Amino acid sequence: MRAALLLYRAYCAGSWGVQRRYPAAMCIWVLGVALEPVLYLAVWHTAAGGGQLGGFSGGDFAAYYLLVMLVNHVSYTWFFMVMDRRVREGGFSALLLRPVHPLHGDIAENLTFKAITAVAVVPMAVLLCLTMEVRFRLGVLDLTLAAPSVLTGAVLRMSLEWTLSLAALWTTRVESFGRVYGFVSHFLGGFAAPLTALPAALHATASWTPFPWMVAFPVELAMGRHPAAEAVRGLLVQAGWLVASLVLLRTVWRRALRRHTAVGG
Amino acid sequence: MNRARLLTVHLRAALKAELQYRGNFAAQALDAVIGLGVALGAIEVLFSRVDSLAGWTAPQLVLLTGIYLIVGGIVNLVVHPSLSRFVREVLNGTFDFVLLKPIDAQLLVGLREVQVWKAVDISLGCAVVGVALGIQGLPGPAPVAGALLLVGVGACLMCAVWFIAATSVFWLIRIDNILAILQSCFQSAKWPAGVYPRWLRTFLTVVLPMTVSTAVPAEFATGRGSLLRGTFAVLACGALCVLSRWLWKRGLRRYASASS
Repeated sequence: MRAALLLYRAYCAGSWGVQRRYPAAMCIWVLGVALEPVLYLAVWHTAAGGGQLGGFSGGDFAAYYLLVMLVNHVSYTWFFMVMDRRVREGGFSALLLRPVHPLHGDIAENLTFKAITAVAVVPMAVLLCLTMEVRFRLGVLDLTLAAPSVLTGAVLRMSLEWTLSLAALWTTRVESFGRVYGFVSHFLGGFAAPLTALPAALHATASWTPFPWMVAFPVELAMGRHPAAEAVRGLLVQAGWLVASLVLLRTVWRRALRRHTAVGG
Repeated sequence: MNRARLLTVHLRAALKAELQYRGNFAAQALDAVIGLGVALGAIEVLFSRVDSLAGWTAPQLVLLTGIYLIVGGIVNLVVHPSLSRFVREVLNGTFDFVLLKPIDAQLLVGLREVQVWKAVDISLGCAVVGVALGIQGLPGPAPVAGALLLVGVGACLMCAVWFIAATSVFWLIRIDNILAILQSCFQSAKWPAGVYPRWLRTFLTVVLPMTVSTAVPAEFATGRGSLLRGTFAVLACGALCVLSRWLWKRGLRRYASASS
């Protein structure tokens, strides 16, 4: 445990050292990540007008997408991009020489970047709060339930996306695969529309996939849209997906290692 | 003449390099189809609940989606992959090799890679526009000509924006993701500007003129074009092209080779 903490501290310090040299890159990145939820927010807010859509009023949509922006900030990754380049240009071999699972370095880099960029995401959220009429009903109980859910969702998403990005070892190029994944998760994960605003068939499909448990479910919990029993059931399903994704990670990683043929020597 | 031949050679080499990765190739095709599915799906989901969005009907929004695919496809076919490579080269220090070549570097940098599957986006976009026009009827020769011209202007405008963003690498050095971000910002062009709150609308018209590149031609194609907005698109395109050239020259002067 102590060793793991030391390891993460070293990794984070390393990537902090690199990333803080390029503040402009980070500001631009934040702008892009934050913009997408804002676009959908604008569309749905306009569509709702003064009325209700799929159980959401204009103010609810604003609250939903604001929270999506924040929760997404915690959990999003760029593993597909990294892995694609790493395998193609031979960087993977060097990582395998280290006595540590490469996953840790990637997660540490991810977390450091987000800790830094939170400085820009939070003001963005405040700006949205001020310019759109957001309707919040934040209860203590809701937030207590949402906190572990956000964490579980983030770990689930990171492990699943890292596992999928290992496909690079079979296909070499994996970025377009990552985009396909992005499209699917976009719809089933509650980014394009809150799940209850989707057509019934799509909503039903979504609940059988891991996608809604990453961002949409924690957000709905925070908004207090689930009664207690349903919330607990949801948390259990989320935990189930988490375990499944970790098992998958282990299995695929073993096979990927056997599959790896060094590029670049 | 010589230039054209050189560029054809480059493009052909890029095409061959791209064709080597077949799995990726198939995924790209799927990517294009899913992309269209998502765009139309979002409209379907939305219009299952409302009749119009900021004054646009469903067929009009479908038409806008078609134009969005065409303009995005044009940018992503050559300019986006080429500039991504350029941005990486400046960071890695291999940009020097580009400068050593006896051809205008900006031209070369913008035309070295080709993502051939983006042609699918363009044809899908044309098909979608065709279907949408079939539903709502042709608006007459003048607006159609205007729309065609403005699609070209829109694509040109977006290429200029991409160039300007990529050129900033001379000052900011590590911005390897700036173009990916531009791509995600370009999604704002999928919707009419009217849905955005005022500050965002101004931003997307003046600072990053994403909505100008698609919504203005779509307005013409739906017979609601305004000459004022059309002229604005043309002027913005001209201004940004000049700006991108100017910035490139300043940037080059600032570039201190990484390898020497």
